[in-house]
Amino acid sequence: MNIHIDVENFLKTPEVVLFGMLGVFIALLVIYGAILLLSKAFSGKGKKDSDVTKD
Amino acid sequence: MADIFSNVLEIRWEMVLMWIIGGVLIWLAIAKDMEPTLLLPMGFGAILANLPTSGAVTQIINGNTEVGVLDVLFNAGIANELFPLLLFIGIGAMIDFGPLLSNPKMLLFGAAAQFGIFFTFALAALLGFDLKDAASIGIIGAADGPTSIFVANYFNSNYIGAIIVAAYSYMALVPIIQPPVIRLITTKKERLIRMPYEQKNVSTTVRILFPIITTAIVGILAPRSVALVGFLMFGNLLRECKVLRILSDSAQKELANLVTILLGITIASKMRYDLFVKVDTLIIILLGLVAFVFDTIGGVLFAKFLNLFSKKKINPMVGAAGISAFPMSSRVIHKMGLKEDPTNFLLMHAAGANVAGQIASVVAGGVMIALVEKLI
Repeated sequence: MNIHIDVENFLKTPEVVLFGMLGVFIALLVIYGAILLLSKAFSGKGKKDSDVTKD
Repeated sequence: MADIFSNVLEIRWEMVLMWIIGGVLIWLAIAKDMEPTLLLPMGFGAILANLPTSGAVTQIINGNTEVGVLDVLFNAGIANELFPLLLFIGIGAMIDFGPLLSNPKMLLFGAAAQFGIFFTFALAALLGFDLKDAASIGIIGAADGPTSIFVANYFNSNYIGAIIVAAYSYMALVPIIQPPVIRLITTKKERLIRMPYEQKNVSTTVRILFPIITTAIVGILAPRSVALVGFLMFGNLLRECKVLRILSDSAQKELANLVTILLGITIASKMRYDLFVKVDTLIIILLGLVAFVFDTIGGVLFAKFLNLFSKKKINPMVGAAGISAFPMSSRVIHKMGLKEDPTNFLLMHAAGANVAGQIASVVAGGVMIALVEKLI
């Protein structure tokens, strides 16, 4: 491959950069929300770390 | 006699260069303790694959194709993405998501620190790499070997050898790459920000449900990532369920070790001189560095951005731990924090961001596949 400046190729990338970062943030925000809900729903239920023998 | 030594005449300077590269990888693994589990097998494999008419790789001799064992392993374990996925079971079993579950805000740094992937993708495209190869090069910034292999292989990139070498080398070089970048974009005052760690107990139920729910969420939002995240989370479930300790131990040790041995030496099948000794390889290695640098910048700047609105200030160095090089990056941040103030312990925050990076990098890989596939 010859290294060269390919503006046409580059102009296809902003969409991927924008929606890519957005996609990663959305997925992780949903996981964030799920952790908050889980923590709220199961706080005080089940064994705590301190009750469980560590591996 | 001439027949016996005819192979000597087949030696080319590019092969000798690959032996030197193999030797350097072995030296880095042994003398510098840099990712030895992968660099050593890769280094040895690079020598093995570049001996003249090496029987370890497929050769066409007198018109007949002689299949080499490294290519057999590649087709059996990497071309179908099996080895990276199996390795992820082991990695999942090794990871304690406790610091993240205690402080889920750290997930955001995991997301921000994937910026280098997309930045490098755009830069590689500007330099003329086609979009498949640009995506494969960008994913070096996932700072996560299996994800890099998965994406590069998915796109059938010709540069898979260089990409894997760059990914694993830079993961080992995180302690050298990150500190100067962080110092460049933070002030001393910012680096001194204290973040008291509030120890929160995470119930076993949450620890068990987390891998299941995360798999479901990622599977729905970024289905291309579901195999990677699913195997990662399956390994974690083995660990957290507490009733499969033997399997969890096997995943962390025997499975991970066995796959790592095969993975390292198999990648060498793509380090043949005709595929590797090119200017492109050098460019890819430089682009890999760009990816790691901009991952770090993304994480740090996002932490600074959050500080504009947050009452509880975040030490921006923690943002840099959002890259997936686990646990190297969190240790680097912890040490940097201690260097600035010996009583400032950032380890648990950084560990939270670091394991978040592990999830985020896999998601980024899936998102990248989905978006780039639409363009090609």
